[in-house]
Amino acid sequence: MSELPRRIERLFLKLERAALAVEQHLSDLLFAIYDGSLSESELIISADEEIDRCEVEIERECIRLLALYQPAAGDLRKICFAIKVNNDLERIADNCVSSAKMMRILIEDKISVKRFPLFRTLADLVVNALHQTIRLVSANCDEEFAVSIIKNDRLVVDEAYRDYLQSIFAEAEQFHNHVNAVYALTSIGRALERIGDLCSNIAEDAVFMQTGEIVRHSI
Amino acid sequence: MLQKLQMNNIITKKFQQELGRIQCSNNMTKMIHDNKNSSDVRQDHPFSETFPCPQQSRKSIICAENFSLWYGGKQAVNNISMEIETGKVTAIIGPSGCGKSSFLRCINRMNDLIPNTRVSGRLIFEEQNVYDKRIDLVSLRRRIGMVFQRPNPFPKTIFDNVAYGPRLHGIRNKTQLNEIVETCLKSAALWEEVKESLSRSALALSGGQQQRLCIARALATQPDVLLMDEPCSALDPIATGKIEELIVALKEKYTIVIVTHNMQQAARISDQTAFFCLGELIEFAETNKIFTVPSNPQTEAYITGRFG
Repeated sequence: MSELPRRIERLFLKLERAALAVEQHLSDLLFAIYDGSLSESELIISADEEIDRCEVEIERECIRLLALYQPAAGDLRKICFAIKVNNDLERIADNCVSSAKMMRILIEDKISVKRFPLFRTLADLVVNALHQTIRLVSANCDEEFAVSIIKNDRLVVDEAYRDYLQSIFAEAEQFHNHVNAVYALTSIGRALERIGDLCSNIAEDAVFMQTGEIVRHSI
Repeated sequence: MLQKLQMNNIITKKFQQELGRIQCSNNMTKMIHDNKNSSDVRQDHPFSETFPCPQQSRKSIICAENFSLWYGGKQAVNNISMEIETGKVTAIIGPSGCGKSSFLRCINRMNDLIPNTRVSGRLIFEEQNVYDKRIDLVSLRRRIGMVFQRPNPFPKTIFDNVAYGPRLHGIRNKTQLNEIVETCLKSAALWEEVKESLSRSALALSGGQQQRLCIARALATQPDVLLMDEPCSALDPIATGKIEELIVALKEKYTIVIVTHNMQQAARISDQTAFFCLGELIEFAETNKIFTVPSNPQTEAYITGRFG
């Protein structure tokens, strides 16, 4: 085995660790939201630094591999996948942080997401989507599995987000005094929907890694 | 109170915009999905096109049909069928001893100089089998020029090196020869460096300049095809870069077939790439495809350095 495959293997281990950290980030966020815990949300904000550091380290390693080995074919696709997924994972973590920052508003206005059962539906779908997506990073999943994640986002997560927004909209009359809280509720919903989109992006990149086909905008 | 009502209106508008965005996104997804299901949809991604199989001829200048070559009892090229397109750069890659240089040298019958060689199958150049007994070898080699691994200028002046071929073909007029030498040196991106010293010995030039002089010399007989057998293997990165730029510029006028061990070079300059192994053609496709999604696992293993 030459050096490049070994280094790609190590790169993917780092990527897998970053993915698991991001998954933990999301579940911590949801725990903080359900619990209405300000201290938990602040922990999420501070933990983001470590994820940013990992992102830079992985990107540096990808650039190093491209420069030193000029990879081709499967190796090239794997490194391209790592670069893109790394970026998407960092953006997922950023969405968690922006939601954590919105928590303060909800706590100040004493409004809980528990009032909106559809939030839970949306959150569960996104958590599941991220969990499935991470399997694409850690295991050699087939194309069909990746496509199912993409379709799930388009059909299920987007619909859950729309339903959640409508449920807030239906109760908008009661929130005259809590404009900021409504803004926070919708922003958190939007962040979850974006996380679903990013999972779908990762799945698209997984299809590219396996088949060389760019399926973006075509599924 | 008024302020709160205004804020409420803003939120309502934002909700409606957001809902509209989702609806629009869902409609787009549906449209894309519907389009994908229609039979005439074109998969427009960079790796979807592959080179057609040899039977589907299009604009090819050289066509090998079940071509094999033996050196005595040893088979060097085994049943190759491929088409080389006009005006394109075709790279041949593969491990040492896989028959790529042997195949290249068959195209203008340079292997005739090696005793006990024999061939089977056909190697067509512009609808004529190059191994046809009636073929005029001088004319064939005029139309299919060759550049070798090591620069091999004649021990003559720069001018005489380029004028050698035209003179051999009967051109004696000094003005005409001057024109040919200038044009060819310009085409080989060497004119600016040597125009003041055309009467200097070609052996005094640097390695990269000598190789470009050899290219100019090959161009002087106005060939249709240029065969290049590892033309940069003896050159430094700067000279290699110049030759690569030259190859890309020359493909507008000439068909180029290049054998190279440098895979990055093949990826940079060629339009199509053929991978040879143990005398056989394993895969022949667009360079983009070969270096990103090769179809054959052997090609993948070779270009990723896992074998060869």
